[in-house]
Amino acid sequence: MTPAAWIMLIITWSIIVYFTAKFFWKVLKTPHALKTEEQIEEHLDDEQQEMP
Amino acid sequence: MSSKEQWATRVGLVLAMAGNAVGLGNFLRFPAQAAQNGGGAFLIPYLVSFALMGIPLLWVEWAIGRHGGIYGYHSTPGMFHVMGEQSWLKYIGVFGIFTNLTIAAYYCYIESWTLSYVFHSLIGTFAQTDPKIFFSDYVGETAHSLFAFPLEAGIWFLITLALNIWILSKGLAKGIEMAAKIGMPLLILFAIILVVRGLTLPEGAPGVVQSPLDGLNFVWNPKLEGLTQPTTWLAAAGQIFFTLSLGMGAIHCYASYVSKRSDIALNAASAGWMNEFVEVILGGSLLIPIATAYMGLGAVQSATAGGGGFSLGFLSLPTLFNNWGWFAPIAGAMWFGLLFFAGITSSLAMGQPIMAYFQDEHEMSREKSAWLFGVSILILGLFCVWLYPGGAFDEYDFWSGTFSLVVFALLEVFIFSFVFGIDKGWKEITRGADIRVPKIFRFIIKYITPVFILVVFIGALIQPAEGNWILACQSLMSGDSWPFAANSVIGKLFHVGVDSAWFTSEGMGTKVMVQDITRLLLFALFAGIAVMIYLDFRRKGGSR
Repeated sequence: MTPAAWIMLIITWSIIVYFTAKFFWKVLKTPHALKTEEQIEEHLDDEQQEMP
Repeated sequence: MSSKEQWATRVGLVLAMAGNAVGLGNFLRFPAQAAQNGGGAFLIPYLVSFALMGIPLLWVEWAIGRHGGIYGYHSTPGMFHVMGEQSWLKYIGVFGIFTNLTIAAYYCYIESWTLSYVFHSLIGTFAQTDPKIFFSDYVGETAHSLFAFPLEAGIWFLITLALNIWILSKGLAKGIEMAAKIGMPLLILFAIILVVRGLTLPEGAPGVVQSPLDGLNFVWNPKLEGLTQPTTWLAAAGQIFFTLSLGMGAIHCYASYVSKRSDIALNAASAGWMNEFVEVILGGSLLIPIATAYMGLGAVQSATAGGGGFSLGFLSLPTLFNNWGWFAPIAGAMWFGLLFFAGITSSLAMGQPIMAYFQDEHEMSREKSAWLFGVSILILGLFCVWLYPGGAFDEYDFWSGTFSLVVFALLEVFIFSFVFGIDKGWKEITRGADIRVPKIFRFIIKYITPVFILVVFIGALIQPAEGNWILACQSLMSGDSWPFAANSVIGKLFHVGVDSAWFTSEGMGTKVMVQDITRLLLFALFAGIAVMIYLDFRRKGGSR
């Protein structure tokens, strides 16, 4: 492996491992991710009014 | 038009979405594309495309899906129908049915090869038979005919189809989600074992002719001059597009079962990055290093010259594993097993939108709709099996697995931003989000992503011969015609570079005849789906 190849590999792998682990860890930590009823209803009301 | 189905767990949903994205291309296509398009330098346009096109489109498709699900729609015709007042919107959803149906037909056939190869690896077939001869016999190519009905391939196809129908009929949580929870960890485990074994092959071990790190170097050594080539950027954007299963309607469908209270921004990002992990880290370290160790870099370079790793994966690797002694059958089973898991988690994602349409619009039961999907795939798939030697398979792959995806993605991102409206769209993406979505993506989704896809589309449409854009422009400037590549959309459409006659002078049918008949079939199917949607929406009494 050339030094340039090692550099590309390490940088790319680091970026991918970082974001994969970060996001998946967050998914594992918030298994349901429920929001408050108010937040949802507020949005759905807006939606219904705008619906054709 | 109602469905009470929901995902059982958030992890299951993310794994199912990642499973939808992770396919055979992660292990067979990506390393070859990277190696042939600038090596490590390929990863620069690749990651740029992921940020500017991949992630934004993932958010758009998840948002369209969850929005449609709120109104009881789980397939694209209904989802687009509720995105605006225009009556034509539902017909954009034809793509989401058509692509899944036709891709599943030939994809299940490839999936059946991997299942069959697991079996043949375990019983030691490849210790005695050359995989090249085995494959030709298996798909009936040795008959030197345009038609084939290979018995064994047909049986494995039926087994694979039955497995898909069975899992789909079990439901979203107990079927698809369970398959993803089993398949994805096993796929990653098998890949890690093979990567570690492959990269640690010592020089001087039986059969090893070169260090596997030379293969890794072939994938990663940056050839920076590649960055100035439009072909490299088009290849990177194309790879991102296909690896994330964008423009199919499968992501929309899975997202439509997400509770209205749940996040989509984090789920989409997590599934997308997980696909990148499997593709770049595992896929990029497996096939080419092992093949280089046993075949030498020169042979690997010529085997991947076309930008695909199929011949290495199916025709060479089974023999190379024979150097691993007692571990050879297990390694073969792991390799084809991981391809099988990659395949089935994707084919299930193609089945669900079709079933959802019939469940929503015809109030069909899950079991009935699973059978209907199975029968449709059997009919379309057998056509593909029967005419494989004539090139029907490649036609399915090109028109539904490549062209149709890009067109659909282009239309959907335009509709999302300009018909549905970016304000509503942004609200939909960020509602309930468990991560802060950077506001810059609002601009990217509206302007950058459509331009990116448009460039990919035009690139595919008029790709010049040998991918040489500079030469093609010079040719045009000097008054000559544009030299269309045979594999460009226009080149394919007009059979550039081949005799377009349907019959030989002896009166025998040609491959062009098979290609044209396949295109007619696909076109008729597309039109038929559009008519079905028209009738279904009219039956429901909608004036639009």
